[in-house]
Amino acid sequence: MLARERFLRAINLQEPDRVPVFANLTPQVAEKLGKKMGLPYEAEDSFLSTRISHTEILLELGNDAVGIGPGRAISSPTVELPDGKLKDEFGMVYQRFGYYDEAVVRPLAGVTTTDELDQYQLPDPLAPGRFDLAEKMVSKYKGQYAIVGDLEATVFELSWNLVGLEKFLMDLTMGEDYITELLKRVAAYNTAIGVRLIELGADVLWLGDDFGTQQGMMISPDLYRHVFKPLQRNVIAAFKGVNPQVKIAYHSCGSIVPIIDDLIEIGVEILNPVQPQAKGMDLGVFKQKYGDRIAFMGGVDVQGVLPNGTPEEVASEVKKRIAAAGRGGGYVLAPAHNIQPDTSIENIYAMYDAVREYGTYPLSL
Amino acid sequence: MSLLEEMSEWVISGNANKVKALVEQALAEGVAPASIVNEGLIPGMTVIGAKFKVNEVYVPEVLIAARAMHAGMAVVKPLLSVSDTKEKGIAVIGTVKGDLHDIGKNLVGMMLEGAGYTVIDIGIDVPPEKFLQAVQEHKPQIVGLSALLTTTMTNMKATIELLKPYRDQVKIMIGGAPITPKFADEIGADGYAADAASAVDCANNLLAS
Ligand code: B12
Repeated sequence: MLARERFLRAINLQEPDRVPVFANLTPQVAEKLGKKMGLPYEAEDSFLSTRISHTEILLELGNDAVGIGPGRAISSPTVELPDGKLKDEFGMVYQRFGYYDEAVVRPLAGVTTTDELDQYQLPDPLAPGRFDLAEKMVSKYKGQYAIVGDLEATVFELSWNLVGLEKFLMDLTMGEDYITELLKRVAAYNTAIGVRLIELGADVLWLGDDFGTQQGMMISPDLYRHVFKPLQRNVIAAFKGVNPQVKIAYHSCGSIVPIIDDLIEIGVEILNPVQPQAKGMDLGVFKQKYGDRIAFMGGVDVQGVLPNGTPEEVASEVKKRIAAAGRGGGYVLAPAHNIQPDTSIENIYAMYDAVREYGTYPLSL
Repeated sequence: MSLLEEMSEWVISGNANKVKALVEQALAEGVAPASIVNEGLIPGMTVIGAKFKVNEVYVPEVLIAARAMHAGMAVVKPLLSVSDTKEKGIAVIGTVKGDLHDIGKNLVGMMLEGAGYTVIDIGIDVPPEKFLQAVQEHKPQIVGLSALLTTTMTNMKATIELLKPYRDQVKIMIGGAPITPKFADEIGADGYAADAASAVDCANNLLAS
């Protein structure tokens, strides 16, 4: 069975020949693997770079889908400043801390009113060059692999990234006008991008906004329902309007138990990443409760066994997750986040090997 | 409702302007600065912490409550006598090297402050040497380390090792998403807490022991 069919059958709640896989890598892990495999490991220049980079390595390992997403406009590539920091087209400035590049300047950090917000211009979502890479990837992989269009910072996350998380959360709770306006503009920006990704041939659009923490929701379910749910509903409706066949995946780290019904109601069809150590995020329970309506993508623990376990422990983790969610299809195995630099190559191979061993249908678990 | 009770309520609902106005009113009416802190501002934060722990309120509500408390504190703090402020103890907190997640650490700081501790927040991406410096400089009773990543948890161990010569003077507590009580034991921390309200209990217990 071709990888694409395997992936699509699974997310359509049917049994494929085996459980499909979709993992992503941090740059350090990609470099290690790329050198070993003799494959390119450079990251692409994009806001969500790790989701659309390292494709050849990932397919060689055994991924069944290819991630595509918006790149930078030709006119506004990310530039290196004299002090070594990186500045992107949003006006975000990033600095390297240990393994990671993280924002140190946010363009809306001082904004308090809609008038001030008006001084700021989001990039042009359809600027020339934005989709060059996506087009190339689609023409190379379409048909053979499922194409996943990545839009994981759909409304909340891109908005707070421009403002800063604490200020954003406080202004949101105080009902500041500019927040409503910013959320609308960001939703429109990402809608335009998602529509283009669908036109290019994405089988799945992977939306997301992290509303979970280890212990529970970051904001109240009520606030989610009032502010974010209507916006997300519109975004999803726009995508379904362009192509009713496109499947909607949704990413949120952490524990989001109270809003899963809401997500299903607004059209989410694949829940990701079901972070296993976050409170209540139990794949087996979810399969029982929601498995006739949605598929799951994720489940493999990146806070414990994947970085810290032995290859044998990784294999039994994979077996456990497949046993919990694999029956009847509806499950794509994936780590709960991009694979971190503390994870050994052996454990990564062990994960892919174990899917082949335990994930073949009919399951014998 | 008494003035101080009302002040607590406005802390709980996060109204900084009201809290500031009530603190000024209380001072004008001759209420002792220490009472304003201990019976007005602190009880508000205690309630918020307890509600946060059971998911009755969430991160934003804690942030605005802390902002309201600060607005009141800024008015009374200069008026507190030395004996008023020395009560609870000093806590140095920071997120360990390589790690930029700061919301959890900030909430812990706010709750400690809301419980009467003097909090010295030394920020994010803090190398072990900087924790050592802060201990030498501020002579805290409590050091709190935060880490949200498996790739940075190891820097907690390195920090604890560097603080070895001071272990009879400071208690070290740790927390963050991937941290477990077992890990805290393994690296020789004195305490662990899963959330910001429990972090206050943890600090109180460590000081009592
Ligand atoms: C928001 C978030 C971010 C934001 C952080 C913004 C900010 N200003 O802090 C951003 C987007 C920047 C981010 C970046 C990254 N993140 Co992040 N992030 C999260 C997320 C969704 C929520 C964390 C949070 O803010 N929680 C809210 C607070 C209130 O909770 P808390 O931090 O747990 O704190 C509470 C308790 O833990 C405790 N506590 C905390 N500190 C302390 C200290 C003491 C002394 C005590 C007693 C108690 C205590 O009390 C707090 C209050 O109740 C988590 C998901 C999760 N499960 O936690 C992922 C998560 C932590 N991130 C993760 C990852 C991988 C990353 C990145 C590495 C991604 C990448 N580039 O590859 C980067 C790393 C950046 C860096 N250098 O640090 C992974 C970590 C996996 C792992 N292997 O450990 C997680 C778990 C997500 C996942 N799906 O796996 N992230």
